[in-house]
Amino acid sequence: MSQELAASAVHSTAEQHRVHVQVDLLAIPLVVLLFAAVFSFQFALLVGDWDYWIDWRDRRWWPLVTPLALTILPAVFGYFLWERLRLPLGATLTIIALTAAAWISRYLNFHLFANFPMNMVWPSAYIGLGLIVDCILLLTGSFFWTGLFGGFAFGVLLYPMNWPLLAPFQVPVEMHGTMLTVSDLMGFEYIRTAIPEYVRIIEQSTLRTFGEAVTPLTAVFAGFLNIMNFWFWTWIGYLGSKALWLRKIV
Amino acid sequence: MTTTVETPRATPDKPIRAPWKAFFGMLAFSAVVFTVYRIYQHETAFTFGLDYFNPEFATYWMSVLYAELAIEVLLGAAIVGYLWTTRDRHLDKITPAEELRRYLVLMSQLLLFGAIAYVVTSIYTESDAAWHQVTVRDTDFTPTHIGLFYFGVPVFILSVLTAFVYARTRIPAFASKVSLPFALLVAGPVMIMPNLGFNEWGHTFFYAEELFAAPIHWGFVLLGWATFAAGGLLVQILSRIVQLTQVIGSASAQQTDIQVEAAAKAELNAAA
Amino acid sequence: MKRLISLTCSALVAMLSLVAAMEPAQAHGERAQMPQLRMRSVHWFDINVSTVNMQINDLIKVTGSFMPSNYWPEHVQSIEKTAFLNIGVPGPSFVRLDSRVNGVPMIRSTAFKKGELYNFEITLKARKTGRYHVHPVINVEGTGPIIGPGLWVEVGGDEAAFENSATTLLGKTINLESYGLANAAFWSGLWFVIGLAWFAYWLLKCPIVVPRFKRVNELGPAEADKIITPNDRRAGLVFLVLALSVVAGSYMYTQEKWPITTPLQTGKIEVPPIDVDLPLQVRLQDARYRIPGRSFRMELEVTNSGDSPVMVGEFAAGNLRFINSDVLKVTPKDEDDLVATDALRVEGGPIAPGETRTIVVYADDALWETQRMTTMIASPDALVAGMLFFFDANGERFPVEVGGMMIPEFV
Repeated sequence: MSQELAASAVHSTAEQHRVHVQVDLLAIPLVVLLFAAVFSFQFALLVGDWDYWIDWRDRRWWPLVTPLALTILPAVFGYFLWERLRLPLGATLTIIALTAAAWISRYLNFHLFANFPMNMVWPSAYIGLGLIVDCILLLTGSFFWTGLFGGFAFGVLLYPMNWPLLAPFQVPVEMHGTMLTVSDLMGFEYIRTAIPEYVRIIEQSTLRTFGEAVTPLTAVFAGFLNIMNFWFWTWIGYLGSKALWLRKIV
Repeated sequence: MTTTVETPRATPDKPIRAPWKAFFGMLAFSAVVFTVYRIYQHETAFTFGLDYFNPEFATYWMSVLYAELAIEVLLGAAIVGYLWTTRDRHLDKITPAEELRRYLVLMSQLLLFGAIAYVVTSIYTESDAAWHQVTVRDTDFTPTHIGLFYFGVPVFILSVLTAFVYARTRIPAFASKVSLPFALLVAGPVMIMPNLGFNEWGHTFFYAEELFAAPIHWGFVLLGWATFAAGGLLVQILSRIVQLTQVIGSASAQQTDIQVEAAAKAELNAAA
Repeated sequence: MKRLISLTCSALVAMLSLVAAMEPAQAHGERAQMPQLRMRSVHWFDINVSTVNMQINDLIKVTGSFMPSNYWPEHVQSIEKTAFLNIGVPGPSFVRLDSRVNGVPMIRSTAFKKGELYNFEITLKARKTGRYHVHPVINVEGTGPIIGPGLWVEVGGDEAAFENSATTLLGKTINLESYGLANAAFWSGLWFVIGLAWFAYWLLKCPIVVPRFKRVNELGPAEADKIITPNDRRAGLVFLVLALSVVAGSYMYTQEKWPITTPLQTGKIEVPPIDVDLPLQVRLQDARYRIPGRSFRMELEVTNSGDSPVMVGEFAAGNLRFINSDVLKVTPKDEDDLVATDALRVEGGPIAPGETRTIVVYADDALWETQRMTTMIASPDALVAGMLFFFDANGERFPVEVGGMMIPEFV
């Protein structure tokens, strides 16, 4: 301890405060930018088309794939921010960063660069899910309960949270004797040379169980799966937060 | 904890601050370069970039590729060479204030890396997504690939490499040992390049569709996850900053001076 | 540093002004596809556009015919499984209002049979100004886009005047360019406000990084929760209840407002091919490509079972057309129309009714080279195919596919 004290660079609490403010000014934007960077990257490559196009947001695959990929960063960095700083911000902040980056990118890339109308490529709403997870973590102080309730909420609430945004696009229309939703119609009319209709991984007609309840069934299944998913990524967050030093490389 | 003790300082130093001027200068410079590149891409991708075998493609895009690769190699060698040749050879004599200042420099370098990484992995990556989904793939060197894989990714590798070498050459803890999380943070982006090879091989061989969330792209995700070690690096940095910003009493401050002096003397004797 | 910045900026500005001064030239990279894929996947012919000069909101019809090859490469997935008729323009420069093959709407995916003939018609509406090389495309699952010949179309006018509307089955007319965006932006904005408020609550405690890091370390994992104040917990509860209430409330509101919705629609649709009765049998006996002369030579055994003598007027392979000017007069539609108007030489004259004869056909033109078809010698199976167009005395046309092994001649 005496050695640590001997190494100090500040002489007063005021000076210490000034340095701490400097660290805040560097560290907070750093984590926000890193969240935006890593989250956008992995979300594009794991969820990608399901979040890019409104005619991909179906009742069966989108609500299953999305929470599984969406949980990763909230769990990893949620662990770091809570365990090391006791800040219940990991999930909300990572998802805010993802959503803000997505709106900017859709506007610049899909709208300005590739010419799609914004109403075909808007990003879904996920911020509320992060908030629920963070608040549960704050109130329980436990990753176990957060995974159980928060991880489950990710799966269950993703669809209802987005339904207010999505419902207008699933109104039926008729085109040349075929019934479509507004989403399908836009997918047909706004040409995507390399994304043909058959590439869409969306619901196909299958046996209905539980009285045709496709969405609730998917949501609950996604929720259950996501509980374990959340715990797994929390463990990865624990590994990532380790301050390991090596004597040398190789 | 000693918290409320005010110590009169012998010499009124400048307050320890991050190098904001240099940081914002570099940020503005990067912003200009990335924006101008982006405007260039916007203007020429759909006009001269659709057919690799057109002579215009060579003029407008292959020349950009060759130029940027050359600039990146030279710039990388210059930065790493400069940092290495001007390394601090007396890290044992560094004052706490200087060490703290260097931590703030390191953090500002990481912040710049964060900004560049965001632009590259979000805006540049998704411009590639948008491009592929509306055009026919005809070469590995599409305009958006030239922007993403041969400009954006190398630049952000370079920015994190700069921070890594800076820490290796100027900050005692990082000079004497290798920080595993920091090494992972550098290695992840570097490994994107071999994965790009796999990706292109697959696209010319067995993967014809431009589905973005496709298994062939998952390797990139795995490497992106190397950044999950950022938490470990922050713990290493913050742990030392906590030590360097302990407020100490006048008695122990005096003791520090004596210790530093004794250490310096011992060093001199050893040198003699 | 300042000099470096200003130097870089001026160089980049100079580069951009050069770009602004140049005329666009577009193609779709079909030259990158391997020749055997171009020659043996889909044979396109009679590609036409109803206009080459149009204004925003004008309609254009892209029409033509195609025949999936009987010599479809074994190593790529077959068109008989899943395919989709598409259009190759960069992004939605046009919107597609209708798309039909043999009269059947092609909104959904389908499958086409090898060796059968199909006519297509695609109706587009101009959305963005520019000069576009418009190609028909068939996307084949697992194989990728098979591109047809392109024609230049120039679009002028005011992009802001573009209109695209639809009427829902609930009787409401909607503007597809903006429909639902304000609503999506409102709900996203609301979530941003709530999320940022939560972030701000914690930011107000700044500096938060070092002091909290230090305190958590000092307290240890068991005691660290002491750092959380009762106010924090109250705020957590308020935000949790708020988030759950907004989810529940907005969902119920939406159910009320949009009671009728349907799931996304998908599926496959069948297209019957056109019945063609050909009075000809053609067999490729020998095919050689002589590299120095850029000359493609075919020996064909032709049996004419019709009642009129027939002659070869055209050979088409990989979107290149080689015309026998003795039989057919063709004018290129534009400067990039891949037609060699006098490049087909036929030795052996007309084949009389009932006759079986061997003829030799030469397709000699630099197009083989400029369109990168010469790399066919690097094919892993050295098979080639193409369409021969025979004409009888009345000018009636008979398209026949031929294919077989090809031997390259290097000297």
